[in-house]
Amino acid sequence: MNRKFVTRVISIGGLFTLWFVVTKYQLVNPLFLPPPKDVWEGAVDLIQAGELREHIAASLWRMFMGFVVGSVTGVVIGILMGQFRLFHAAVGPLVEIIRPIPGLAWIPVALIWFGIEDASKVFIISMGVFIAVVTNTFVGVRSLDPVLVRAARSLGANHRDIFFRVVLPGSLPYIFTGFRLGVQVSFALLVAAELVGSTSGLGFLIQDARNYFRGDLVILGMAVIGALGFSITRLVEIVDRWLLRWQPTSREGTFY
Amino acid sequence: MTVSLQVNGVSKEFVDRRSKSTVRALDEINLEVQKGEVICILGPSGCGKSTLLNIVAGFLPPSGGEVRVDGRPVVEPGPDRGFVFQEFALFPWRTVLQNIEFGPVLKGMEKGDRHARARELIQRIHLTGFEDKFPFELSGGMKQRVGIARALANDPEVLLMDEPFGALDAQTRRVMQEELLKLLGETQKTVLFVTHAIDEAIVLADRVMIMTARPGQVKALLGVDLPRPRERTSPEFNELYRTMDDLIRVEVEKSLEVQDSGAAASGEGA
Amino acid sequence: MQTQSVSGRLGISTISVAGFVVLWQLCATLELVDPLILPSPWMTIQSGIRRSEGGELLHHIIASVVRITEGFFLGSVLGILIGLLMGQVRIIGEALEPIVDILRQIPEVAWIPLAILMFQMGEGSKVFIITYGALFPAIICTFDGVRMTDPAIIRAARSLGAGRGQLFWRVTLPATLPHIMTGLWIGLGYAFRGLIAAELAGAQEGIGFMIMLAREDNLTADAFMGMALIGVIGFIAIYGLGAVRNRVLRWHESTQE
Repeated sequence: MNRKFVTRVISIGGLFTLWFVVTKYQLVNPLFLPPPKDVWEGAVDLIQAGELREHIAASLWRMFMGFVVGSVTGVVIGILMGQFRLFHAAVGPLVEIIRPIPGLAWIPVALIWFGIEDASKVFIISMGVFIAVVTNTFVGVRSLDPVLVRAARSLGANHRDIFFRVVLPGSLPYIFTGFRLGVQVSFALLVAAELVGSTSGLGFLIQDARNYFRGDLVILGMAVIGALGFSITRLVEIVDRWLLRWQPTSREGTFY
Repeated sequence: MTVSLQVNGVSKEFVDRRSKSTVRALDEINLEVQKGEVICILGPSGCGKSTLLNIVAGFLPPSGGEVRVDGRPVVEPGPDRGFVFQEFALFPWRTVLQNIEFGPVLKGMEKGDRHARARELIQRIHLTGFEDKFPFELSGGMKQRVGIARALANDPEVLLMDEPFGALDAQTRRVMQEELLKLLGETQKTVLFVTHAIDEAIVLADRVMIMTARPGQVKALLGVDLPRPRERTSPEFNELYRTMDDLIRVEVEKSLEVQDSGAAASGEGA
Repeated sequence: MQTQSVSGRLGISTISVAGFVVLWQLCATLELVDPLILPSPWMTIQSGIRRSEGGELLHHIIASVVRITEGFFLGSVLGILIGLLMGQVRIIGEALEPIVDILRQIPEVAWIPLAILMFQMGEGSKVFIITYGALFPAIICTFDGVRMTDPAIIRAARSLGAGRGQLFWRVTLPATLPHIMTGLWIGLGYAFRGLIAAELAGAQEGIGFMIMLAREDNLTADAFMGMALIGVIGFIAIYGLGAVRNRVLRWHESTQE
């Protein structure tokens, strides 16, 4: 741990020193790489004005709403597809048609449908989350070991018991993989959607700063986006690890 | 003595998906098991011994004939027939205690009662202190102890065991056989035990049913009249072993011939 | 019985998709929904035909394809090289890992404003975003792959007389290949995302630009057509990379399905 910690400090410290030196001697155009001091002062201004908090709140709220809508529909449809072959035959192809279209390509249409306010972003995010969750949920239900269903039946379980006590907990690891991937994907979607058409949010913040040639605020916004994305993924991971503590090791995600 | 389990003329046919032909897996199996009796089923692989067990459990419907447990015909799986799986089939998201009390929970038994029952069983399978462990934290032998306790928690009429120790190493197997005998001595359960190990059958069984190669028929039903605990090195044990080995070997060779000719007939490898 | 139900399910799938398209068309024909909100499938196709005239559509397609090819190639090659270097030279690995860990948290789309500041609206900003998207998955997966190489096969190769160079070319690199392919796989998705976002945010050509323009002019049918086109191009790219993977990794269990 010690060695790792030390190299970590040295390497990150080195990066900041480099930034400091490069900007001090103006080796790079200060328009897009302002000195650390400028970024720091920009941050202080933005926090004091309460603006940063507003943008973060706007982004988080959209993220949350989109996640709820996308994950609920994804889990329900994924389970139905996994449990009923007929439903899968009917709905599966429609999901397959939507899947190759990247969530981002929906942005212009979402803007036409839902306007420039929150609804269009919620739609985009829920789309990204839905695709990740529906696929993984379906795979989870299908890959459930049939011997567990037989075991439950021999212990006296009826259809209801099997669904709630076997199928649902059994596909939970996959559902959570879907949540994790969905959150990762849709956070980037959100930033892009806010960049392209919005009047608030972190994506808007960096785009707006760019319009005023405020490189310091652009970099600040990027840092906040990175930190927020990291925290959200971490949060999902923590919940995931607690709920799935019956699993021997960490799982790899299914990338589609 | 009361009859606990009746298998009356049970047959099973499958449709082979590739050749579209009907395969007869079981042919007119008859068996009557007394309450508290331990029957081991021996046979070459593919003879349908697991199929028979699955029919008794109600996982598969028979193509002909019927199974009765305690006089009632079997139509679907139920808690009167506890099943122990070779692959353990523990619910990975439930702790040892929660796995064992699964059946009682489904029955709606009160928390205090089912905890008490589960704890008693945990004590009898020597897993005290492991109540809150998840299956992945247990060794194979421990997992199967939980599997047996989970089946017993429903207090079933019959215990169906499908090569339950097949996935365990030789030492653990021996220990598990001894523990199972002790448990059965205490509970007086009727047991149908599928295995391909002859010595396991002789150690455990009151009677051993030997099956033919496909289509599976009853080739022989031999009583094991040796005093317990049975000594693997005794002459009587070995005598019985040799008898059964001879009976089975013929069937294994037959099943291999069938496979060879089948492969030749289809004209290509896998 | 089994085969019947399979063909039955196929029938249901066909009916479901066809029904969906018919319903969609009906909505427009019967004017249940404003075509500005939901253009009919036929209008979408028509818009494709109209835009093809004079080679306009082809022009946008080529612009996008060239960008994604350049950026994906650049990002992948750079990422694999950096990943291999980090895996082979311990000091480089330890020094770069924390920096990679920080930079990978920032999605490539968040770089768009800065990229535009750096390169203005030119090609540079798009290729930069796409490269960035492909870069980090390639680095991380390659690095992981090198570190996760089974020590037993390295020992086996050494006992068979492999030297340092041989060890790298004949053992480490092939053993890392499945991980590299995974990195490219994920990277392709990010690169694609970067392409569209960059074109949406500011470009003069490309499919993303075309649908953004359509949106501003309220030409919903054109936006739909562009979306479908993006889906098709993405599908082809994924299929192509899958074919490469199956060829390169034909010894690996991941391709034995």
